[in-house]
Amino acid sequence: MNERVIEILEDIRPDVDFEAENKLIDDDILDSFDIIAIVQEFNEEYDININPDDLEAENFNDVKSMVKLIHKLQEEDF
Amino acid sequence: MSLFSTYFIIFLIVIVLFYFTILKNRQWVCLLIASYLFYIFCGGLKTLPFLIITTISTFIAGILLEKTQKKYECFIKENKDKFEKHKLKQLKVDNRTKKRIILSIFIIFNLGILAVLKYSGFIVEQINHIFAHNNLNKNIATPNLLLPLGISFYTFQSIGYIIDVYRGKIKADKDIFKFALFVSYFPQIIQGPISRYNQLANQLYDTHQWDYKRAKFGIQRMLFGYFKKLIIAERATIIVDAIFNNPDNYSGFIIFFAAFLYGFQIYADFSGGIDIIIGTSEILGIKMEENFKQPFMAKSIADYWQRWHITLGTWMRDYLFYPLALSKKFNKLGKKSRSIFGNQVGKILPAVIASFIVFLCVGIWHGASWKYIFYGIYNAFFVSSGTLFEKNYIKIKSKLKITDDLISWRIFQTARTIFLVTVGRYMTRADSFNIALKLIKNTLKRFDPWVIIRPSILEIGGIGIYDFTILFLAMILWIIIDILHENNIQIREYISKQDIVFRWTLYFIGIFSIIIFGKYGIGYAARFIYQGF
Repeated sequence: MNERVIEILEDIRPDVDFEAENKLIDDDILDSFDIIAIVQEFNEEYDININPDDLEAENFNDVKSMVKLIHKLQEEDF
Repeated sequence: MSLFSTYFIIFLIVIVLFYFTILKNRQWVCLLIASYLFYIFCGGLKTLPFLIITTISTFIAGILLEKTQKKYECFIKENKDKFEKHKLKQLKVDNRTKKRIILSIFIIFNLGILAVLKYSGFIVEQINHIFAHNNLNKNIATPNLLLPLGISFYTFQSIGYIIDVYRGKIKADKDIFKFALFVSYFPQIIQGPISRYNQLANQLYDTHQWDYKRAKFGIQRMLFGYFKKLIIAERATIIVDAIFNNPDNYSGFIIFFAAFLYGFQIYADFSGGIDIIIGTSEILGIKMEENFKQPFMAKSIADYWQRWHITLGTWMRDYLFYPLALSKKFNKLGKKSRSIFGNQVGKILPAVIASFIVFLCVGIWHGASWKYIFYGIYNAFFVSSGTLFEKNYIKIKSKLKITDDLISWRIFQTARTIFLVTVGRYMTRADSFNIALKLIKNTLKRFDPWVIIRPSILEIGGIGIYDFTILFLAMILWIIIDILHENNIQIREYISKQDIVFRWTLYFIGIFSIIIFGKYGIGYAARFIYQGF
């Protein structure tokens, strides 16, 4: 999943090295418009529903956290 | 009692004495008493009930939301095996609906109070305009309502709290008196920063030991605030008022200069106040969120809004922009717009519309007037167009061989942003939107930027060479400090490492220059611009 997530992210922000960055939100690398675009893509690609409650820095600071969030939402029973 | 009065300094000294001695085991009680006394001293007793109503109602909302969630979780825990998946899903949706109803009632109630007190005058005025326009002989009397001090700030802070409880980010506060302190904490209640419960509440409830270094840093921060407000803002206002209060008497570049100066004035005024609030809190051992990050170094309008009044911006982002942009309606809109405008524009259109709504709200938040509504739209236009046409800009930049690390490009970006912000300031400072337009028209009448180095500038508002020179030098000093901050140089840490003679010489220079060069007189009681919002 990692590679596909990076692909989606690079499509939205080609100027960011997503494999190296681990403070995407804390260092203001991604802005709120980027976040909305990323969430829309994730929702469609992985058939999940990311809520405003999930938009915490810890869920979007690096690729690993984003993959973890996607897994968590996919695994939610109901 | 203003933050600049001697009364405030005496008040603070008394609070600090009690806080670290007699009441050191009950510091939060000390702060609660101080906060309510401060509120009464500043705004009088008449508006206190509004603060209490918001406190009690949001406290109840928090408890109700948490109870509803707990009841649901207990029920699911006990009955999970009895129900099928779709029934469980339905129960989850029902629980969310229930919580949403509770949340909506309390948000509408509190925003309703704010709206009635702040905007009913404006709405009645508009209705009367419509009556007059249609030659109807009707006239509704404009209500003369009291506007409680800090209402926009404490209402937003309280609403943020109940949304966080609704989202399960924080637990509801069980102690109404402690919660009352979170809502009313002095001196923040006057003009923010708008704090989050999980960032501030525990700090207010905890016990703090006296720390000399922290107190010293707090006092330095307060001094910087006094410097900005008393030396810069109170001088800049002389020129700004003279020009903006007499829009017919001026034309040409001098109006633009006054708008630029007003940008500095409001920055000095607002961030100076925030410095005093953060510095006061630092002495008490409470770390508050920063509200400014060198806004005049911004690269774009979007960047500017991430540096100016940061806590309002993040509040709007988390509680309005994200929920709007991610809502089902906006999602549908996104899909539709993709089929009409193509992938690039269609994808970002929902976020663009959400940001328009946010900026409109930011505009209206500042006050009930058309000029603030247009101010919101003006900012939304630049933020949205920057995003919508980002890819085109990148193409143009690469064709012109411009890279982000070029210093000339960085200077251009900042100058362009300051220019756009200054034009926006015409709207916020002029008495009305029509006057702002008139001033823009008057500015374009002739091109005479050299007017600012002519001696005649010293006659505007009777500022004179003495005050003008001090204003000019203080602004230069402040710009240097901002550049140092922008480059992550911690000035206070640097000073604290110097020897005692150097440090104390600097402190005395600081204190005496504020006393000598500060613009105030006997009975001086300056008001902050943002205090009115």
